Amino acid sequence: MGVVEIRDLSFSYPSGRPALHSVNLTVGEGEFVGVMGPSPSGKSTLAYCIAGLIPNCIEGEMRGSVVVDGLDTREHTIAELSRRVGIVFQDPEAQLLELRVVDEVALPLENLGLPPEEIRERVREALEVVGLRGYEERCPTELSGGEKQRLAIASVLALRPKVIVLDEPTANVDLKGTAQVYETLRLLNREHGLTVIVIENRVELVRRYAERAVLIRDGRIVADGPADEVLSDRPLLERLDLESPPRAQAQERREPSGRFESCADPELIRFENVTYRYPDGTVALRGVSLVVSEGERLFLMGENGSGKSTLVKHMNGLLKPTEGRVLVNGVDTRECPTYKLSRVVGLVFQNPAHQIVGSTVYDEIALGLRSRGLPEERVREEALRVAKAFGLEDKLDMIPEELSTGELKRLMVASVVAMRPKVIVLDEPMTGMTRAHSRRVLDSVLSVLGHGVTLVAITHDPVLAMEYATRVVLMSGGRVVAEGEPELVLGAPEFSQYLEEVEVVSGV
Amino acid sequence: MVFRYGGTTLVHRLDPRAKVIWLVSLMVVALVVIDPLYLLPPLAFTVAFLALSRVYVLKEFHSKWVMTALVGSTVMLIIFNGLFAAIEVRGGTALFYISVFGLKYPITVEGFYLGLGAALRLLVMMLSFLVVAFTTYPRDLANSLERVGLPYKLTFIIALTFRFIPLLEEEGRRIVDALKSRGYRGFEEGGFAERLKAYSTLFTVLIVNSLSLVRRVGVVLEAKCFGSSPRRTSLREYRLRPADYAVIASSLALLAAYLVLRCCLGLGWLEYAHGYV
Repeated sequence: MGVVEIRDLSFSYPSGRPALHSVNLTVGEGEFVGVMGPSPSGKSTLAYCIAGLIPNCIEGEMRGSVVVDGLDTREHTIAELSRRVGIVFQDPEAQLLELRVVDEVALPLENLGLPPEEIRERVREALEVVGLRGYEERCPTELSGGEKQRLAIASVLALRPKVIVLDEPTANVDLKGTAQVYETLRLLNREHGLTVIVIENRVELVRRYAERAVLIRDGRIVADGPADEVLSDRPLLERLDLESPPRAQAQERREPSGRFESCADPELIRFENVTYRYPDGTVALRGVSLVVSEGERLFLMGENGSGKSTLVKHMNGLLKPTEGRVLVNGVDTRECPTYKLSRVVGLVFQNPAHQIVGSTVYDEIALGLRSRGLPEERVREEALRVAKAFGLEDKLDMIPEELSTGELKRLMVASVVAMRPKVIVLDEPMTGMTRAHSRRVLDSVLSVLGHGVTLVAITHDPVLAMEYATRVVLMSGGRVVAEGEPELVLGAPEFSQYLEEVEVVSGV
Repeated sequence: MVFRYGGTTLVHRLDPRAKVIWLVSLMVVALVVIDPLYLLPPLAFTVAFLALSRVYVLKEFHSKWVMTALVGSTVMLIIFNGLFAAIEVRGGTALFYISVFGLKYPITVEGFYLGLGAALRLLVMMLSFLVVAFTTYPRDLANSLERVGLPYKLTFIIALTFRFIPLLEEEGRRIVDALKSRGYRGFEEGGFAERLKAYSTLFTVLIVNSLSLVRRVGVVLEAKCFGSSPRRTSLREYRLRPADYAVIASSLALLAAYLVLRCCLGLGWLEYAHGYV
């Protein structure tokens, strides 16, 4: 008898979209389970079912049963279940509601009406376990991504549950934070016997931390077993889009264009000794000089806070240098508004929620095409072509809310690619994607814009950089600390410390 | 709009209830008089708290929105009253005349005096609000208002609002960046139609995102056992200490004094302050 017993569980959302089909799963006490699958596969729905949010507060039709530590989720309220099972969500913004760390952890206990002395004791203990002692009076919004998620874990732990379910807890967290979160989970699992069920799509993480892997596709379990075993089945992982065969390295594929090397590549973007200070006084760039030439594929790497995002925001004039200057196509960005520069430099951000404005997938892609002044029949043609390249051709009439996160991100990239900018800049839209998915996005960009397009991308994945980059720039503390061909930079001493952090997540 | 709450000064440590009574008293006092002379005592009371709390050293206090509100409204009220109160001020002392369509229009000392009064009033209200807003955690305010008998659902929403205002601001900035990058012209230049298009897109996206945030927060609240116990407890304890009683007593005394001044003795008002209440 497991601590979680799922029998013949099926669920469909009010929109009619079925999410789970007769799922059977037993999780024993003290297990560390990684649940994986291409989105939308029903993974999150499964997490909500285990935590009792389905059927207690998320609407839809549920059949079958979920029993957690002897309690049937259909017969018990969330408050009763919360002492057996807790859930941590993907985005910290919606789940941290307080302005002081202690209050955040205390909130559910206060809602349950526990006596103040007991609340104090449990809060102290929970913060201790996740390593956030000394942060009591800090504001959660000031914490790093990894600290925020550890705080969310603490607020669940304070209820002293037997099972913790986490729904892609590190999708928006940097590498260092991801490692911290997983080390905390390992500690809880090994030292405190907590049962951990984590929805996670990065193979390396599951392989490293989980004992058991459960693979889901289209609401059905397709594989279940020891993590090492399940995750060594490469054909299966490739079918589920969790892995893809490694690519030839950029070096080799660059050869054909080598012919043009004799005539110097015209430069598209030039940074001249750029320093940038934010209004609050933080200096994010310190004397950066950099040239992006036509046809190159430049990958920016470095820790969070090293200035990568600030740098790319200078490329289309969203930020103007405090000192020095930036030339795009020979024009000083201080003299040209961003909307004009956007025709030369297409910038894609991390979060689709900020960027997607169309009412349907087709509208979203067509928006960029119309701004290029194409006649309507050409718009139709082009939109179809772009949609096809990004695997969205059968979703053209859907509204963006109906898409999965992965599809939304592809749509976001597609809609900027449709504008056919000379330079496409990707500010981490691939964060939280599997490497297979990232490869697909990059391949789609190259197939639509041609292999000669100029690409600037921010990534933490050295494998992707090796495969796609013609040049890698490593940043630290607002400065460029190393740059050059991928092999050289990735082997540079400046890189080794950064690589140690990356290693946990990317498995190189 | 970003506040910063933490601190260890006397004002920070006052009970939220004492601060609310202090704030409400000062607001009412500022509304019952308009003569600048009579506004000096409440202004002094406010400035004393401002000085004690030391919130004026915070960079959030020096942010654009706070400074615009404080300086902008003061200057505007003095100038506008100075220029336009002349119609109401009969037989005032003319400083100089301007001619409008050949008519001589007086600019009077009284007009500026009234303007000064109106500006001081607003200053008292804004500064006292800022002192409380910058020294009181919304959670503490909510908890102590709950003690006084306000429903928890209401006080919780107040606390939550303060948490989400900075988030929405940040969200708005990111959407503007993304839209500019997609070639929306109206944020940088262009005519009325262009600007309308850009900003209506911004607000549509912002509203859609906020609704989705509300949905997610709803689920989170459920997971945090919101409303599961009729007897909610609190980690923090709120007790009135001597300093709190002193603040409450002095605030109420000031309030009573001003009500007597205005209502019984008829002092503190200016007879030409038409259009003011």
